[in-house]
Amino acid sequence: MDAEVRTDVVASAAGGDEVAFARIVAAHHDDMVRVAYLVAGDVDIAHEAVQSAWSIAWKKLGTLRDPDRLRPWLVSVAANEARQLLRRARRRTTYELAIDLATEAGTSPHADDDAREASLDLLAALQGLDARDRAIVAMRYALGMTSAEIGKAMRLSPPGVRSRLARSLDRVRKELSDV
Amino acid sequence: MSDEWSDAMDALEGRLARELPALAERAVTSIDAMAIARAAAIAHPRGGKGPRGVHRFTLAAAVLVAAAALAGLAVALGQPSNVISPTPKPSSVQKPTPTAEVLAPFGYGGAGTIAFVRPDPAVGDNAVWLINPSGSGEARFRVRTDWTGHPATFSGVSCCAIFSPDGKRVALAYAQEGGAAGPGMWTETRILNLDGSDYASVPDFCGACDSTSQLNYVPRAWSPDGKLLALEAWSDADPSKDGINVSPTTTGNTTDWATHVTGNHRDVPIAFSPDGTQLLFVRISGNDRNGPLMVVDLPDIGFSQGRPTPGSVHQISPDGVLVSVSGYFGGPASWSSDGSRVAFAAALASTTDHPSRVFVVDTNGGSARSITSVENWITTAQWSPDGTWIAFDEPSDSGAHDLVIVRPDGSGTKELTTTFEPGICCARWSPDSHALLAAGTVTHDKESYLFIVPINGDPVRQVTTVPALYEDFSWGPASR
Repeated sequence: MDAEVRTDVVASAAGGDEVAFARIVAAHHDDMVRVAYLVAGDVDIAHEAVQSAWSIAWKKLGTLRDPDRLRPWLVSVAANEARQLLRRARRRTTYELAIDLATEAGTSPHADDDAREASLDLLAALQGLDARDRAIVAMRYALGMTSAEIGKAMRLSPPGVRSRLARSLDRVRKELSDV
Repeated sequence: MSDEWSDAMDALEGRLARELPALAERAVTSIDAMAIARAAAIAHPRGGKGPRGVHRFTLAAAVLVAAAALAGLAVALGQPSNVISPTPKPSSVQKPTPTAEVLAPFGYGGAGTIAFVRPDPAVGDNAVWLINPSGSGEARFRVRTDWTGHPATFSGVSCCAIFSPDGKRVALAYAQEGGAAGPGMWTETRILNLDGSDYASVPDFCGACDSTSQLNYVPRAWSPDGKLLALEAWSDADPSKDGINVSPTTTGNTTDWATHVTGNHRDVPIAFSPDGTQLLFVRISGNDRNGPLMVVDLPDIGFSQGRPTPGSVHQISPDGVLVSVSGYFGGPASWSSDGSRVAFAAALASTTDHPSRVFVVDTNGGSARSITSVENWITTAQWSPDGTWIAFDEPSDSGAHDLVIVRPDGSGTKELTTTFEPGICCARWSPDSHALLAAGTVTHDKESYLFIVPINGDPVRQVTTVPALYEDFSWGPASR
């Protein structure tokens, strides 16, 4: 959606236009799932989080003053829902999540076993991060969002985003070097 | 910082940029954006899209309303991804793959006919289907000849099939486009034999309800003698016409074809009392499809002596709890076989997790007694036809639901589906009280099937084989 259309669409959706809202869903659903998945490490939780996020978005879209913030806002809502769902899954430990990821990686159509194992290591290392930091890493590297966009999503300044990213990457690097 | 550290960080950034998008992609699936938007709008209505607008547009919307309101259970049951989940409940354990035993076509079958609602690709929306308890003879319900004498089918959405007490007739609703009152969807009720013959309108002369009464009618309950239907009725134009209508199922009476039993409330009939003198219903408000459980007395109901006078209406559920009604979750309340008591599932109105109980209340007064512990998202309470058990559903450790039966005094709790994964819910009794009919999921494909669960521990029997969202299912005593 270009900026002009986006403004109109957001305004219409905020006013109760379901078709406009569906356009927003179509444009942003996949990105929300991607980030929710990398935050939660679980496909089911990711989808539940995004469904919940759409419910929230419908209710609160009218509070969004700047249409340019739409994507960061939606992604942050999905990431937040994923974090909360993860917290509610009380018996699901980090270790179990890693098992799930291993299972999913083992059934994915990776052509190369080494590459698959490497991806698994990377995911396992990400699980060592705080969920909020995982969201920031996911926004940056899975969605390609800028520090300014991530800052809008996470209520951080761009330098603050870069600082947290650097700290997260350093931790991931250490995790990977320990493997 | 050393060059080695910088190189390592650069390399890691490169890896993340290459691999994270591919890893994240594995969670992405195709979606129906309009369905998601629609479900969100229904779950949280605003901007003048009131309840009547919702129901006028589609019968399926009524299901989505309740499904969204009870989304924790919906998630547990593998509701399709187009249903928004305000309070989703993630699975806390890895659920096992279904075993061949669960899917094997053996076990109790029973007699009679099962009706259910499932999307029909030919219609593009929900349609009523019939199937034998053995799993044979599945067919979409078709009209042999319509009121003009011509072969016909329900061209639009149809739903909400309920069997007459003898099981030989079915009442259903269907929505059709347009009419004398103008564009839009209109919901009408028809009754017909199991083979699609002897097609009739209810109320009589409601072949064009939009022009005669401007009311929508959905059948909800047959009287015990089969002579009356209780209809959920509402007007898109005039809310004062909302209420329960009771109408004769036979044609020919054109003067008092219906009685506005309650009036000026959006009430959903649940069931007539066994002696036919009272009608159980839920008084819903807004789009939530839930509200207090009520009873209306029908002291002089009859149609040969003019328009009857409605009896008194009184609430039998405790204040502060809500009873939900939807085609998906099925019967939230039911009469004991002697008509002296009612069992119902109700949730605290003030919380989002829906802590629920099954209650039993004497219909001649007295307070409701809880016969179960508090569990989130109990949705059904079905008294067996022989009066010996009450069936309900409760969440399992995995977050899905199990079927449970309990004696009416709260003793003898028996969990029937503890090995059934991921979940099964919202049972209706077989006519002989030996088994339950329920919708369950056996995989994580977000679809369900119908199953028969014998209460004596015999193996669960799979009835349908088409994965779908099954709603409004019921089990009549007559075979085709």
